[in-house]
Formats: sequence, C-alpha cells, structure tokens
Amino acid sequence: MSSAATKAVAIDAPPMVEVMVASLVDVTKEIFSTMLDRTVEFGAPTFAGPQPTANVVATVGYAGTLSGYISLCVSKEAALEIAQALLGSSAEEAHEHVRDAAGEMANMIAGSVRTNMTDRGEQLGISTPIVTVGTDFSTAALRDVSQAVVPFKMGPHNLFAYLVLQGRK
Amino acid sequence: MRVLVVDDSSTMRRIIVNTLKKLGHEDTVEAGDGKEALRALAAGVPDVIVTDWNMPEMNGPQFVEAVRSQPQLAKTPVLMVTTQAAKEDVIVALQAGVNDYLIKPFTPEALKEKINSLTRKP
Repeated sequence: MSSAATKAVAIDAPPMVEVMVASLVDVTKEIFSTMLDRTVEFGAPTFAGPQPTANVVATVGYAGTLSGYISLCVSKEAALEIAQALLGSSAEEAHEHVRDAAGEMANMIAGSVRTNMTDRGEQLGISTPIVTVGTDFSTAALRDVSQAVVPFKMGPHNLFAYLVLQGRK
Repeated sequence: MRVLVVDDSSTMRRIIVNTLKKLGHEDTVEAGDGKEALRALAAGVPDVIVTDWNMPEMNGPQFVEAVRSQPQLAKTPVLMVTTQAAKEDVIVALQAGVNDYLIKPFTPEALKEKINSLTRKP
C-alpha cells in the first residue's frame, strides 16, 4: 500500500464520528451558553489522536449500539472558571467543586449527544463521569478506534472535546 | 416555600439550591439519594420536590413511586431534573408520578417557570 493511501485512510472520518462530532459541537455550545453564560468558539476537528493534554479530564462512556466515550479536557484555570460560573458562587466555594463541575459538564454534554443519537435510532446508555486531575499525565484510546479532537475556546482558555468510538464506522 | 432537592451530586444540588435562592426560594432541604430523601420527607412535607433520575440505591422514578405510595405525599408536586431526555424516559417518569420534567442543561428562567407552575394555586 502506498503512503498516500495509508494517509487517506488515516484522515478520512467515518460517518458516525462526523455525525457525533456535529452533535457534540451543537450541544457543547448550548450547554456552555445555558449553564455558564459563556460563548464558545469551535475550531476545526481533527480525526486522529492523541487525546489533548490537560489538567482536568472529565470522561463519560457510552455502551449500547455505539460504544465509546467523550472527554472534556480543560486547564485548571478553565476548570475553576467553569465551576464558578456553573455554581454561581465565589471562587472559594467553586474551588471545592472543580472536579464535580467538570464531571457535570461532561455528563450534560454526553447526555445531550446521547439524546441526539437516540433520536437517530441508536440505543445508548451512559456511564457516570470519571474525572482525572493532575499536571503531568496523558491518556490514550486503543489503537483501532475512530476518534476526533474538537478544539474550542472559552475566552482566553483553550479547551477540547475528545470523542472515541469503537466498532462502528 | 420549602423545596426538597434530591441529587447524588453535591455540585448539582448546589447549582439548583443557588439558583433557587436567586429566585427567592431560601428554604431548601437537600438529600443525596432517594432513601435519604424519604427520611427527610418523614420529618416534614415540602411544597415541591426537585429530583434527579440517576442516583444510587434508588433511582428517580423509584423514589417518586415511593413518594406517591404515601397518602400524605400523593399531591406534593415533583419536578424531575435530568439529562434523560428520550421520549421513553419521560413516559417512565410520568408513569412513576412526576408532575413535570426539566432537561439539563436548563436556564434559571426555565427552573423558575417550572417551580412557579407546580406551586401555583388553582
């Protein structure tokens, strides 16, 4: 196989991933606007890994006719701003809720994407959120999955949504 | 007006309680799951119950069925706030005895409208 053919396979997004990315962008805009009163601007998605590095990674899994997960990847500064806006509280109170706030945002994003996929005939369950916090770590999906990195900005902060889909093209 | 807020996420309880306070509803009681909520209800009947769906021990519909099985709570308004937005989910919740349904994400105005609608005297 030529290198060009190999490259074409690597960058061509499977349709279901494209469908879910479109849903992911729509629901993330709505959730940041509704729950945080923040406008977010999306960049172009890329359909290859690795998962972006971040201080706070909130992940919600899918199981059913589709299998995979969505992660919300943010810096600790962005996570604190999200917590403060979500709770409508002081920075001091928000600090205690940074992990759970990121988890709730990921839960709402994944839940809303699930609803959109259910409307398309998929049968999906979602997991409880898992939130990883740290300063020097990386996470990676298995090799044979479809994935998408979706960058977006909230004010000065660079955030990412990361989608992994297994077993469906 | 007293509001019982039932959610296993302390952060989501805080979001709802803070929103209710901004709307003028200062008298709130919190519970982390359905069983804790039933204990709170044994101590006093609130004007409205706001509950999540996905909770350990006893999920939202199971909790609402338990509420409705008690005669003194048969007419207490229940609002379910959840990400479970499929039509089938709404039907399950309504059959369990939920009065109204609010899908996350929600605006403070949407919560206000639902609470006011549920507590409005005929």
